Amino acid sequence: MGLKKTWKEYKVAYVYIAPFFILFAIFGLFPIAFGFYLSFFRWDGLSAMHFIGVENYLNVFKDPLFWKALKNTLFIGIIAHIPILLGGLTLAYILNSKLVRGQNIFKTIYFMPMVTSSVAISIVFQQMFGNNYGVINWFVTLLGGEKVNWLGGDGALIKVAVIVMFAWKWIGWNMVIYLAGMQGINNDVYEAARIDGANNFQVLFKICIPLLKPIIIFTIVQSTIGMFNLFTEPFILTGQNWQGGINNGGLTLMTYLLSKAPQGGNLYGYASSVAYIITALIVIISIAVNRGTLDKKDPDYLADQAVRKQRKERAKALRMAKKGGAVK
Amino acid sequence: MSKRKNLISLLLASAMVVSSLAGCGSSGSESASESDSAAESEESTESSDSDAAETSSDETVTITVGGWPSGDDAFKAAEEGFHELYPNIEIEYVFTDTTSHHQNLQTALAAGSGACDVAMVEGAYVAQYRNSTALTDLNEFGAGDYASDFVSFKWDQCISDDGSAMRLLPWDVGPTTCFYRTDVFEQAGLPTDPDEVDELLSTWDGVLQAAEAVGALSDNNWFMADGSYLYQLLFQNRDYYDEELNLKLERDGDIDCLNTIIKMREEGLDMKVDMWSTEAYAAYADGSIAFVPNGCWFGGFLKTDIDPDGAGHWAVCNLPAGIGAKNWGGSFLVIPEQSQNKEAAWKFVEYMLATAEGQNDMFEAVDYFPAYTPSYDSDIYESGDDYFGGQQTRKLWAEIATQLEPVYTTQMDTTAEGQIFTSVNQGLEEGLDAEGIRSLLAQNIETATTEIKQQQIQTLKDAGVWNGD
Amino acid sequence: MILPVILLVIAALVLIAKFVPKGKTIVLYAVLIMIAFIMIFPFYDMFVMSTRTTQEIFSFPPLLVFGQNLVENFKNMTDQVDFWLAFRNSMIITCSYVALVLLFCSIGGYAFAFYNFPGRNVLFAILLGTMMIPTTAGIIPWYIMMSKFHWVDTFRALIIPNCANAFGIYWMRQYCKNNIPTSLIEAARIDGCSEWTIFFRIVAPILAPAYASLGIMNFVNVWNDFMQPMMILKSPKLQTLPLMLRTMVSDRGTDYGAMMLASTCAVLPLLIAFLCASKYFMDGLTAGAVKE
Repeated sequence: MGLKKTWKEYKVAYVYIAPFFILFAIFGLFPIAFGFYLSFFRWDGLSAMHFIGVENYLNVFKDPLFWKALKNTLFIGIIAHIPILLGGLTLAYILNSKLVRGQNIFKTIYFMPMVTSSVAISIVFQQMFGNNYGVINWFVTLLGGEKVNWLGGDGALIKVAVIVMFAWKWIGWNMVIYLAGMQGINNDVYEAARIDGANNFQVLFKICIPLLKPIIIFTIVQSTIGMFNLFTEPFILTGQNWQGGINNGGLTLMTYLLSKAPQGGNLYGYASSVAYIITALIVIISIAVNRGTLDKKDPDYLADQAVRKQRKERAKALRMAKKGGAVK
Repeated sequence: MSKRKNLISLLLASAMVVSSLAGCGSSGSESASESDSAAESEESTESSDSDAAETSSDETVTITVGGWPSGDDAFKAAEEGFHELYPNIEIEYVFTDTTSHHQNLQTALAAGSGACDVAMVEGAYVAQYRNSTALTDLNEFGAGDYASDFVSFKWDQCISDDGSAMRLLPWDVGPTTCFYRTDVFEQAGLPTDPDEVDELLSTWDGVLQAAEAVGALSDNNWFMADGSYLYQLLFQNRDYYDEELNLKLERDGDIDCLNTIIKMREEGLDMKVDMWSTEAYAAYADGSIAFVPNGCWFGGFLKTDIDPDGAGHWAVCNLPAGIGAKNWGGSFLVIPEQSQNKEAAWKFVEYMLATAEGQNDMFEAVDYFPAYTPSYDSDIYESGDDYFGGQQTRKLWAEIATQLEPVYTTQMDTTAEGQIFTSVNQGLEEGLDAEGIRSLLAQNIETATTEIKQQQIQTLKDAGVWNGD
Repeated sequence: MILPVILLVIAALVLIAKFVPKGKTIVLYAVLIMIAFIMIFPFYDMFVMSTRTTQEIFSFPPLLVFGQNLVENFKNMTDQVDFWLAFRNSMIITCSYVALVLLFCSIGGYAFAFYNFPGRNVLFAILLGTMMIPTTAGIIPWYIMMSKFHWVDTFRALIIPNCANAFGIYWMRQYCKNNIPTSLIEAARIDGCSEWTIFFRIVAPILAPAYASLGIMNFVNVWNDFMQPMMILKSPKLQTLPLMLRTMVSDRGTDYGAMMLASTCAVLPLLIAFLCASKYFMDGLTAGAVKE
C-alpha cells in the first residue's frame, strides 16, 4: 500500500532515472560480474578455463612489477598534483581577482589541452621530448646544456615527461573548477575583509582556502581516478612498451593491467583480478578522502538527514496505526 | 491522468530516439546497409555450407581476410591468379595495424564470433594459437601433405604440442642479415663489398672496429640504432626456453657480444633509439645510422618506404661474429573454427601459401620471403637486386632459410624478447659488466613472464604433454 | 598524500600574495602569456608538423615554422585512408551519442536533484560507485555480449551501452541544485504544468550551459575513443577517425607529416566546437561546480 502511494507520488522521478539504471543493468552489470567471476580463473581466451580460487589475486600481490606500477602511479600522481593544484589555484586566483584583462581568452586557452585527442597529442609530446630531434633538447642545448635522454636513459626521466603531460592536461580543468568556487564566494565577503584591513594574502588564506576546501577535495578525488586510469600518455611516450620502458620507469597500474589483457596479452583472469584490485584502491582512497572531510554543516547533508528522519517517523506512525487496527 | 499520458509520451519519445539511432547504425547509412546485406549473404551461404562444394560453380562466396598492412598489398598482388582458379570466391580485406589486428582476433576467438575467415598471425603468437581449439585443424584439408615443402623451422612451430593438430600454415620466413650503408662505410674507410664486410665483421672486435670507424666520421654518425639489438640477434630464433620451460640465456660468445655493446655505448657509437621508431627510420634514410641487422623483409621496407631513393647505397651481409642462421619475424595464416566459409578460406590459404605462383607474386610485391621452398626454383631468386647494387640477396636469403634449425617456442618468448632492449639499456646505464647485464636480463624476464609461464604450463597440461611438477 | 600537497599550495599562495603586488600587472601578464604559450605550443607544433615532410620533422635543430608540404601531406593522407568516410562515421556516432546522453543525464540529474523519492540516496550512491570501476576489465564480457546481441559491426553498440553515464547525471544534479530555484518548479506545479512540461519548458532552457559543457566533454571522449570501435567495427566502411589514424602507423615506416595532418584534422573539429561554445561551456562548468 505504501509502495503504491510512493510510486504514484514519485513515478516521474523513477522514470527519469530509469534509463541509466536499465542501461547499466543490461550493459554494465554483466561485464562487471563476469569480470569478477573471471578473476577466479586462469583463462587465455583460447583454451579451457581453469578455476584457481584466489590464486590470481595472490599472484598479483607477489608480482614485483605490480608494486613497481603502484609506486610509479602514486609517484606520478602525487608529484603531478603539485603543479596541477598550485597552478590551478594560482591561475584561478589571478583570473578571478580582475587584476588582468582578457580573462576569457586565458581561460579558454588554458582549458584547451582537455579538448584534444590524447593519442595525437602524446605523439606530439613524444616528438618534443625526443632525444636527438626534440624541441626540448634543442632548448636545453641553446641554454648550453647537454642533450637529455628523457624517454630513454635509465628510465627515471620518463616520469618527468609523463608528469609534464599529465599536468599540462589537467591544470586548465582544475583552474576552471577553482575559479567557479571563487566566483561562488560572495563578493561582500571580500569587501568586508578588505574594509577590515586584510591584505590579498589574508583574504586568500583566511577566506578563500577554507571555503574552497570541498572543491579541492572534489578535484583531488577526480584526478585520483584519472591517475589510476593513466595509460595512453606513458604508453606512447615509452614507444608503446608494455613494460613501461627501461627499468619499468613509465609502468603505471593501468599499463600493467592492459599488458596482461586485453591489449598486451590474453591473461583474462589475471587481468580481471588486477582490475578489481585497482577498483578497491580507488574506493579506499575516495572513502578516506571523503571521510576525512565530511562537513556536518553542509546544507545538503543536513537536508538529507532531515528527510531521512521524517521518513522514519512517517513509517513509524504508519506501523503504529496498523498495530492499532485503525486501518482495515 | 495527464501524468500517465506524459509518462507514456516520454517513454515513446526515448524509444523513438533509441530506435532511430539504432537505425542510423544499421540501415540509415548506405555503407552500413551494404555491410549488413553482405553479412546476410554470408549467413545464407552458411546454411548451404554442406553442399557448397557441388554448387560452388554458380554460387559466389565472399571470404573476409584480416591482417596488418602490406599483407593486403601482398594478397592483392596474387589475387589475379587466385581468381583465375576460383572465380567464385570474392575477397574482402579487413586490415589494421599489427597490434589491433591480433587483439581483435583474440577477442573474437574468445567470444566465439566476429573473426575473419582467414587471419594473419605473427610469429610471436604461434605458441598460444597452435593449441587453441578455436582454430580449425588444417589437417582436415590435407595440409599435412605439404610438410616437406615448408621450411621445417616454421612448419614445426605450427604443430600442436600434443602433435595431433596443425592449426597454422607458415607464410614467410625472415632470414636475418645485416643491411649496411655502403656510402657511409666507404667514407669511413671500411670495405663495402659484402664478402669483405663479412670478413671484417667475423669477430666482435671487427664489429667494434667498424663501429668506431663510422662513429669517427662526425657527431651525427652512429653505427647502429641501439647496441642491444646485437645481443638480441643471439636469440632471434626465439628459443629462450627448453622443453622443461627453463630459461636458457647462455649462448656461445654472448659475453663477448655484451662487452662489445658496453664499449660501443662508452664510445657513443649507437644512437640509443628504438630501431622501429620513426626517428631511427629517418636516420637510416639520411645515413646517420649505417648498420641495421634485420629480417630480409626489411629490405622491402627500405626500398618502398624508408629510403626509396636509396638504390645503390645499401648492401647486405651475413650476421656478425658467426652468429649463424637466424630467423626474424614471419607470419602465418589461420582459419578460425567459427568461420562459415572454411572450404573457400582453405582454398585461399592453400593458393597463397602453398603454391609457387601465390608465394612469389606476394614476395615480389612486399618482400615476404616464402617459407614454401618449391618457390625458390623461380628465376627471381638468381637475379641480382638493383636496389642492393645488383647483389644476389635473394639467393643469400634462400640459403639461410634452408639452414634454419627447428626450435622449441613458447608463449613467453615475445615478453622475453621485449625485455632485451630495456634490460640491456638498464644494465648499461647502471654500469654493469657483461655477466651483470645477463643476470639482470634473466631476472627481468623471470619477473615479467611469471603469469604467462603459468598459462603455458596449463596449456601443456591440457595437451597432456607436461612432465614438470 | 593530500596534506603535503595542500601545504605546498598554501606556500605558493603566500608567495603570490607577497611578490605580485597590484602595481606589477606586467609581471602577471608575462606569466599568464608564458603559460598560455606552453598550453598552445603542442597544438602549434602539431600544425607545423602537418606541413612538413617526415625528413624535416626529424631534423635538428627542430623547424618551428610552417613548411611547404601541406598539399603533399594531404595527398598522401587521402591516398592512404578515406578521411571523409571516417570523419562522417565519427560524426554519426558522436552526435547521436551526445544527444542521447544529454537527454538521459539531464532528466536523471534533475530527478536526483528535485525529487525526494525513497531510495534516492541508495540509488545515488550506487550511481557514484559505478564511476570507480575501470571498464577495461569488463571489455571481454562486454564484447561477448555485443556479439550475442548481434551488435558487432554496428554503430549502436558504441552508442547505446555508453549512455549509462554516471558522471553526467552527477554533473547535471549539481547544476540543477545550484541553478534552479525550487520555488520556480513549485510555482509551475501550482500553475498546473505537467512534470513533462516543467522539465522541457522550464528546466531544460536553464540547463543550456550545462548541456554545452557536458556535451563537449562527452564529445571529446567518444570522438577519441579507440578501444571500443576497434573491437566492434570490423567493416572497413565503418571505421572511425581514431581507427583510421591507427592504420596510418606502419612498421614499414610512418608518413609522419601525413599522420600529423590527419591528427590535426581529427582534433580541429573539437577545437572549433570548443572555441565556438567556449562561453557557454565555461558558464556550464563554473555554475555546475560551485558546490561539491
